[in-house]
Amino acid sequence: MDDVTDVTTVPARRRDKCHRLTLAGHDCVFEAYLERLGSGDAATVGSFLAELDQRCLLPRSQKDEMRRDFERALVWYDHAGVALTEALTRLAMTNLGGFYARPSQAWYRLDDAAKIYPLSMRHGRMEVFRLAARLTSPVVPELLQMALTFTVKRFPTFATSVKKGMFWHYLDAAKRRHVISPETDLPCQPLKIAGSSAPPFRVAWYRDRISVEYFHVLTDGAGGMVFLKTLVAEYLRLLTGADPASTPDDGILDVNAAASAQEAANEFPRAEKTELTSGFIDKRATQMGGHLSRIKPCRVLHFRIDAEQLRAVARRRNATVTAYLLACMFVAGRAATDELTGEHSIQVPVDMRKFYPSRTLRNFSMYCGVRLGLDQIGDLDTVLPAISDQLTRKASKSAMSQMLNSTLRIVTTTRWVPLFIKAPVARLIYGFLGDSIFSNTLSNLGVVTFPEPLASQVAVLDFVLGAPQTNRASCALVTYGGTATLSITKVTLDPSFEETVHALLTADGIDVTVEGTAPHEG
Amino acid sequence: MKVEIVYPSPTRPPRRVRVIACAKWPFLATAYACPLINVATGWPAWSLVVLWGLWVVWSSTFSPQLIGINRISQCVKFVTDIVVALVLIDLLLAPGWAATVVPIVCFSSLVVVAVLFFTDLDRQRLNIMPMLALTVLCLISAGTILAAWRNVTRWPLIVLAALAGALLIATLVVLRRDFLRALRKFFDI
Repeated sequence: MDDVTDVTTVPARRRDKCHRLTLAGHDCVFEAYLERLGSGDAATVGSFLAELDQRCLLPRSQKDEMRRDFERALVWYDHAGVALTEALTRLAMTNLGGFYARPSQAWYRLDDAAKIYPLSMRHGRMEVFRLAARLTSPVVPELLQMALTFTVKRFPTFATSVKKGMFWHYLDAAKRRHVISPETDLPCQPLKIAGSSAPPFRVAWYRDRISVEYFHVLTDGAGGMVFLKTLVAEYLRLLTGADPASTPDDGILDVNAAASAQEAANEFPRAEKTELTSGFIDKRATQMGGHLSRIKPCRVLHFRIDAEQLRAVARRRNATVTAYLLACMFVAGRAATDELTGEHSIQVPVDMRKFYPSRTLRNFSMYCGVRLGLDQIGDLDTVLPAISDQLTRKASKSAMSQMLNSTLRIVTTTRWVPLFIKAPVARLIYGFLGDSIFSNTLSNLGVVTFPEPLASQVAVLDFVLGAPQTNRASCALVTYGGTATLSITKVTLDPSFEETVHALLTADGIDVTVEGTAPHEG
Repeated sequence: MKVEIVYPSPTRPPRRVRVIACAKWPFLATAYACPLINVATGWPAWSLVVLWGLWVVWSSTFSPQLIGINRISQCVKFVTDIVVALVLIDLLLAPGWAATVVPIVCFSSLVVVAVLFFTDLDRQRLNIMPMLALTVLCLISAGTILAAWRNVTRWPLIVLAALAGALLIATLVVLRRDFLRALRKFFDI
């Protein structure tokens, strides 16, 4: 599907020429398809597509592109031997709802955690994370495009663009045709959100992988996973015709249901009010060695680990999976630095939904820092008790509520300060401190499931954090279908960290296969 | 540790970050050197005009805004940059003409902004704040100068005030509820 080529890599004039040729090519293919159908079926297709006029009030160019999306999908179904009636049922225009027929009027305040992200971003630096699903068969871009068109309407807070207000940024509803693109770049590259209705997320595909990259302003890992699962479920429905009997508890939303206010809620004010608040400032942590790469991230690695083995090893060591992996990271971090004194600190995001049950798709997570002196870091057995103890204390509901209240207090105190003052101050503080109070990050999204029959078609899930600023690595874990995937985002070519983690895991009898990008230094 | 490569090789080097990294040194050197030379050579303070020029080039070419770029905001930014440059030149280098020229530049730009807005109403109704800011600023400045300053060419200011008022009313009439919604979004705390 040529129109989804990453057009930003091609000069504008050549791009226009290619686009015209592609459109002409597509028109020929579609005409040939209609001729093959015969007059009766061709008329059915014609009246099917005519319904788009009623369902879509986007600008003409986008509407034409959306029509071509439908045409391409129909042609693909034809090639795949799917009967026309079945194809029309799967692509039914009712899946568009009235979303594309209504003008954009909604807008959403940023949740309290999201407010810092647009303030602190710079050229080449943006808080982006990726969630990806690898399927058991190659991705059909024609159907993925349709799946995105149908899915995005269910997520009105995602169908937005970031705008500047007098005091805060906000999300403005942006009705547009959201476009998938083939993956041609390193994961988690900054998104271009400057345009009038530029989306703060991107959907990309490569071979059998569907990836969604989110600007953190939009959602956190949990909300992002709901979007990915819903998109994948919709894609597989279009591909196979099987409609999974999913419930909201599966984390898959019905794309044709109405969005609820709970899903767009800023849940921060729900936190228990605490007298004590915790600060965000701490001592600088030691950093792993190795030059920071110019291109960030310079490498992404996925450690595919047998989840049962991992759980068994953690249990044998009397620890949780998170604590065990943190221990590995501390030992590996120690091995990857030449410093002899100081403290190593790992940031651990905590999903607040486990303390305050919520269906919100916005950010609702905080973080704690697990910190050990370099002299305390020996082997796994010596660090595990301290890590488990700190995790229990620092990731507790009361500690997290304190941090939540701190966030609320900062937001409340600065709400009357105009953005043009807040932004440079935030950039200055963020640029000065950055992520230097931490050495690394471990974000564990937990166990994710898909209902049958989807589960048999999703092979593995990936969760990748964006490139850190000064930390040499950041790690993310997601477990699906018996495979725990630890993804390491690297900003240095020094391989000490990942090699030590690998060695520690294999020494504990855990089978690890490693996938990823080639090292890249530009 | 054997790594299976499951990603494509990147095809696009991120150029802007590299350009910024290279360009910032000559810019910074000029920004430091000019005031020093200016202090050494004495009045007039031409270095302020140079500094502003550097900022304009930097912020529009090398490091444009990351959020809120659209045809109206770019036009308003361009006009603001020009007006500040004109005022600086008038104050520091060649005095006496800005009070006439600046209102002319402003009302011309209001016409351009109005054309940009009304020719693409569906899309640009989401981007009205820069236009509103410019319009209100023009209206208030023109009104204040007309009321407070007698020895000034009055017709450009009168045209500016009239045009700004007309544009404001036209926007209000065309957008109605969207106008209030835009204000609510913009001033939300």
